[in-house]
Amino acid sequence: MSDFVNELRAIWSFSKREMIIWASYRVNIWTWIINVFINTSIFFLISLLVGHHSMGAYGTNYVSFVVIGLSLYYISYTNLGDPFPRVARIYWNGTMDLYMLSPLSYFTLVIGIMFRSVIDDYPRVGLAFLFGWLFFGATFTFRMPIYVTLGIVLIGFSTFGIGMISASSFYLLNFKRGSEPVSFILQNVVIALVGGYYYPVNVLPKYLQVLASFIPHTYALDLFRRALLPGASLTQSVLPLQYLWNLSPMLVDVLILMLMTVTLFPLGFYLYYLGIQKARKEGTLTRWQ
Amino acid sequence: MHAIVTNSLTKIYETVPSSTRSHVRGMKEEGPGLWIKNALKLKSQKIRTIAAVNSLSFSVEVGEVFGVIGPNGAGKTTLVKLLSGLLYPTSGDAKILGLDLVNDHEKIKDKIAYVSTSGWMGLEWQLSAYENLLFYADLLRIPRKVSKVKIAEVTASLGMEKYMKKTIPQLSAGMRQMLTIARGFIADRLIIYLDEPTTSLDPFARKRVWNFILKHNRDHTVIFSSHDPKEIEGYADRVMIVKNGKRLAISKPEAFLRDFSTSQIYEAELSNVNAFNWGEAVEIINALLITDKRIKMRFSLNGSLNDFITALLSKNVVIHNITRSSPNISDAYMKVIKDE
Repeated sequence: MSDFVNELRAIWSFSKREMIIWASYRVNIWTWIINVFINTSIFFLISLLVGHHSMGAYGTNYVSFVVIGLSLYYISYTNLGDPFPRVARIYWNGTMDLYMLSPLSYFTLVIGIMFRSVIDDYPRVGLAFLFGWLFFGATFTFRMPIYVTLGIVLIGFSTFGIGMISASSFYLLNFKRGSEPVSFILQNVVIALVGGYYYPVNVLPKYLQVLASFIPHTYALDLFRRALLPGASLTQSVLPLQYLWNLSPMLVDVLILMLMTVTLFPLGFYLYYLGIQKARKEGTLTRWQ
Repeated sequence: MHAIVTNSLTKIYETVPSSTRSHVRGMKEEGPGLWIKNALKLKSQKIRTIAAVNSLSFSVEVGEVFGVIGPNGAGKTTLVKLLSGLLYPTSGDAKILGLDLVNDHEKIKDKIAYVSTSGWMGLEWQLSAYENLLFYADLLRIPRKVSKVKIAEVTASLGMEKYMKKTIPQLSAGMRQMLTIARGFIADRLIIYLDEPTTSLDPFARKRVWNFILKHNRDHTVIFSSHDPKEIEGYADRVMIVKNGKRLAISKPEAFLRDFSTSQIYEAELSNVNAFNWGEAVEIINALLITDKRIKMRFSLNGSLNDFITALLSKNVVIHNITRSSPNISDAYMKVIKDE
């Protein structure tokens, strides 16, 4: 029990440390707010061009549709994109030995080093909703809170699992410089193209819809949009797998997200652990030999 | 009881010479080029292996202050990282308080503390010295009640209380190093590894640190590496000299001196020495060029001083001064290193 408390206290300590560091760059706060505002504005302007065009199962309000896409983009950007640069940062600034000699679990340490990204990116979700609602006519309905909560937890863990697979390549495949292919191919190519942040997946050609079936974003966005957008359908199938199974589309989303989470999350941490063991053998665990 | 026992501990690194590193198979080592290279495991034909630690066998008693000394690249830091579980040996094994270095490395974490020579780089610059220590205590899973008391105790002993509210950029290089040393001691681990801990400290701070370490180590084991033979002589119970990863000697400092004390040690300032053949009568310990022609040297003499002076004068060497000196640990260390 006391070990668990100590792990929690370490997470709290990390969050406090990261908050102090983040707040010490005061200009951050303003650029951060402006950035979210501009992003939301861009999609409002696009929606003026599109007008109140029907988006099939997702209702007719494009700004609301995109605010959800933008929110998932922020979460994914952190969970999937940041583990690799965070691991790289502690390696290059010479603190990896401190972390590796800590008796804390690898999970706690990784969560801890991710806090700066969490502080920076997660509140953007709230701001996107706020700006969308206050200035650009976005409307939301909160009729399925359990589905939304489940969706947040599952997309959080599944994208973090992919992020850890990406981070494991730092040691496992020895990608010490610049970027690495896992997050680049997934985040910047596949998800950017077929994730459905800015348009419904069913507007894509069939083969890209099949590709979209392999990423958790597709299901999470479908789930959130059905649950949060006024006028969205709870029964109309949109994604290929929803046509295959004779279940409610939202249940299909949740089941597939669960499957992806229980696969990707442990796999990510296992590969990260393997990478560390490999680095211990090769002598590349810390920057300074 | 043994704190550490190593058996033929060996660590071999693979390295690519820097001259070939930049044009491995014509790829730039960034982005997709690096991805492909790593995926296909393309390696340079010129990979070399370096034994950073080479068949080291030794043991350290509980409560001992054990010094490891050697020139740059001798393998001191690799040895300390091996013993702390940050690296796995290529071959051989070691027991840390009876725990296996590889199989039990998670359990070893609760037994050891490690102060690295570049440890100050890991300090968070936006946090105060105190916040840094508190954060590190949390990282080591030390309960807050304990850590606050321990931080107060360690920082007071090291004379750092008045710096605790300062942020890292406000501290001098020496103070940052003191902070990393304090960080190593707040956990109160049974074995403390200190890798060149006093490198950037002034003599007063060094003394303060060593007084603290010696006071602290009654029931702790200290293993420290250093370039400074005087530090070893002053504080180590035993010393191991390493070079190219190999153990050259292991003994008590006074035993090294005893072995060396039969030598006659002299210091001299001489000019015009180019034509002089030093032969076997003189073993130069170290020499310093003062000007183009004048050198200051420390040497051990195997024959009579009169014969040596006569030989110098016969070759027109100018003797500015020559004095007898007593042997010290540096002489013994230099001799062992040179003999290898």
